[in-house]
Amino acid sequence: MRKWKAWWQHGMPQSVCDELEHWVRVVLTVGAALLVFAALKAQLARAAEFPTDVGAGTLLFQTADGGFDNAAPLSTDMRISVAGVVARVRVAQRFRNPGTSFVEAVYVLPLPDDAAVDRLLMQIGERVVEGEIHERVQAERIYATARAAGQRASLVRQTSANLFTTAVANIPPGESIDITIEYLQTARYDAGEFSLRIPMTLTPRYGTPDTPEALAALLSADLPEPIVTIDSVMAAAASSTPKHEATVHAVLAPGMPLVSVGARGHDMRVTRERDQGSSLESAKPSPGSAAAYGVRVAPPPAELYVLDTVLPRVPMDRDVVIAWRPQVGVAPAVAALTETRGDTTYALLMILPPSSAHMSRSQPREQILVIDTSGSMAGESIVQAKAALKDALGRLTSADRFNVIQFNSYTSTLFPAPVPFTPQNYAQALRYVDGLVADNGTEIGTAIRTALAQPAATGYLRQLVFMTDGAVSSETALFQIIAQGLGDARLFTIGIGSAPNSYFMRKAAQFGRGTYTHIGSTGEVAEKMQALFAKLERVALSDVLIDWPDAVELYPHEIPDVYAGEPLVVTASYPATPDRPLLTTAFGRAAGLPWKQTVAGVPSELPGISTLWARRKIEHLIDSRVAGTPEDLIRKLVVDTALEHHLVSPYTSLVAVDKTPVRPVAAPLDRNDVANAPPAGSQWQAALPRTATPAPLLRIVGALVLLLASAVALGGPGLSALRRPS
Amino acid sequence: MKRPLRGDMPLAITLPLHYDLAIRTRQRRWRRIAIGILVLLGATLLLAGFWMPAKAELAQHLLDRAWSDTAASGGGAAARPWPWADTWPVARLTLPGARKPLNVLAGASGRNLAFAPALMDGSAAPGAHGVTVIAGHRDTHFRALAELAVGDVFALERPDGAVYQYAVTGLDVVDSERTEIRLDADESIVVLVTCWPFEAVTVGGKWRYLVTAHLVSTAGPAPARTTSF
Repeated sequence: MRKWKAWWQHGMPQSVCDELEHWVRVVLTVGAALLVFAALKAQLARAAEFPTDVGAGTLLFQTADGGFDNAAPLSTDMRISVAGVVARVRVAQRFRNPGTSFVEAVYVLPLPDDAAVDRLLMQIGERVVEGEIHERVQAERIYATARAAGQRASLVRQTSANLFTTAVANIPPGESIDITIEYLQTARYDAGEFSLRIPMTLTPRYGTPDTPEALAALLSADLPEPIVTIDSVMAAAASSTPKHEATVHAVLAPGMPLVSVGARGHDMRVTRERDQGSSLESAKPSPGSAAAYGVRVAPPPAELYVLDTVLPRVPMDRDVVIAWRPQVGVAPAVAALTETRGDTTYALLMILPPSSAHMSRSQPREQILVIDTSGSMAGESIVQAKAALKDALGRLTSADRFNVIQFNSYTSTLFPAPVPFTPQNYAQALRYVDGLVADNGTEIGTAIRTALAQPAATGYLRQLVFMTDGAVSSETALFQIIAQGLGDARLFTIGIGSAPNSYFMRKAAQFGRGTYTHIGSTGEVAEKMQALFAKLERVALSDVLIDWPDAVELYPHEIPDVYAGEPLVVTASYPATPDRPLLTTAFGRAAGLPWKQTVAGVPSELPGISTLWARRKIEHLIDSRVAGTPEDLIRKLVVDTALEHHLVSPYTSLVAVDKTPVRPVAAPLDRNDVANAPPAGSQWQAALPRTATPAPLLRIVGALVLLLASAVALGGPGLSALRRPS
Repeated sequence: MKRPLRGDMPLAITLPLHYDLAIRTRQRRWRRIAIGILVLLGATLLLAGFWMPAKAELAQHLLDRAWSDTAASGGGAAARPWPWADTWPVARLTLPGARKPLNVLAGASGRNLAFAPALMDGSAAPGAHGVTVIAGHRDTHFRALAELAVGDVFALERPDGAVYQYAVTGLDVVDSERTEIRLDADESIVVLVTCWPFEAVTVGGKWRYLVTAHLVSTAGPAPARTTSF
């Protein structure tokens, strides 16, 4: 032992010493690492051993009577008939009550923003009750009375331009009520393609409700208790994630040879058939429909396309778009569909601008690109918006000027004023775009004001390009800002995401004298931006005048500029001339040259031209609010038009009441807000934020690292001292 | 003292003395660098670990000023706590036993939560019908939630001076991946959200601790608005 110690103190050879020192160090390092690991593992184990019976699970806030917890998935059946550019959509929804008490169900129905809702059917077993149109207040009273009396009843109201609510009262326990709503809309035509958007879900809205006379007045105040507010339904949508499913079946009679037919959003199978007579579901046997066709022309044997969803049921988390593309050159430059009801003829005139291949861009642009970075854009939407923004930047040339504005709760600009498009500025803008993060609310008003107020340089074409999902509520106020501040500028809107508020986008573009483009997925960005910028660069048709019969009532009143690839759609009504079909001429300027086109009216295959006309008239009347038309006058004119044409409007509602009561008056009635499926790709339903900082972890790891450092520091010199005793 | 030379260690004999020294000097230098790096790393981590709670504390002081400015305008003009801020205090939360109230910011983003508890976008305003969701970090502002019990009363004050007292009615631990808070209600409900378990060290866990409370009394000038922030 003594010998061993002597060797240790005096005789340890250098190599053994080094070896030993090395091993001591290894042991210390491994030890410290194990310590860190053990500490972490203990914490992880603690986090994981949480017992699940403490209340884990889905949190649902219930009303006192517990009416919220049984929001049953809704099954929806959509049948679409298209003839030319007119489409009639029938939405049948089965409201099932899985509970044990009587239930009132409320569902927000997203519809296209130009939808003309003119029919409500309530089906109970074999019986069908047809909905009647009434002034809104009266309809609500009828519904409330029926509800109180225990009768099954249904009410369809327009809560904002593209949102309708369906309320169904007194669904008996274990039973269901089928509600069918029908509406008309026109197909969009853009860059050689017709398309029809079938909304399935909605984007939650941000912001204060419109002015009392605008939106708040639309929500019922006359019922014993308000049925539902838009906020609460939005909130319901945000809270639960119901698996609503739909089947979609469409019959398309395009009236012209097609190159392709297809659907976007959900996969649909297309089968082609020969028209055997009229297999179109003549959905609405409108009163006096024998006369509705005016002169009946035998329709030529046309091709029919039948589209069905590939899956038997598709989730209602994204809109479906049915699109068809006519063969080049066969799409008529001008088409006029007519319908005569009583002593009035209604016409829908569609003008496709002439080909603009020879036109070239001359004027340099000053482009203000505005991007929405609010919380509702989080997820796939902001990725799309950034891609679109970069695409737009890439299309500018050195002759142009530009600026980038982002807005959420606040608005901030990249440059204080628009700058020339130089490589440095371009690079700076790209970096800026890369750094954008979606967060906070949507204060779009300030952004629009800021964009409109950007100092303008003379000699430039001022274009504002807005990229947003349009999740806003105070639309009227925003339109006012645009209408008043626009000047010579043009405002273009780009809708982002799976369910943008396309009403707002389209209207904003209308007041901004620009166009609206919708980008549904990141894959579409380049193509859609190409199409938009092709438009931005030229007006295809301007100063349009149409030669109508006398005493015509025209919507829109003022015919807007027509951009390349987009049609001009005008609806008109005039005293019927049964012996003489419509023959009209449109004049205008195309690429600076006079342009003229004559068209003969053809009776429409689907009834509803009058309904579309009335819908546009109502829209025009409501738009006139921005110009300061008194609310009372608007209301009166809208009610008159809507009642005459059986249309749901902000001031009229459809109501259906079953005569026989089912619920004993004493039995309670629960309310059931049926939440919409949240749009795909959005994050707004992910409600719980992350609420831990890594601070404790950092402190522990930091302390352990310092421990390790001291171990190394102490371990080394200790050995060296041993090795060289003095 | 000179090291004895040994026959079985030829290396030590044949190599010059300064070679041995050079190796040791180099080893010492490497060790010093390693120690330096470790100390720096450890210190940085520690500093960051202490900076976060310090920032959370400091921000509350800046927010106090913004709050009094906002309150001075009757709640009409939202004052920003620092010039570049894109958020502002929307409420003040006084938990039982707290020395001073916590300022609550608008928008429960990760960045806002570093400064203060935050009101979730889209949730109801304090006192209004609906569910007011306020989130906070478990290791800073909302550490005190662990001590709350059913029946405890806390206060929420709005910039317009209205003060609402809420009584705790429920304490739940939920899986955030499977839970979403329903935001509508026929009464005024507050849900305080923080991470769970409180002592956990790891970040990004899925459990959340929810304190649900119902309005019990109202004081102050303004009636409740129903709009959300």
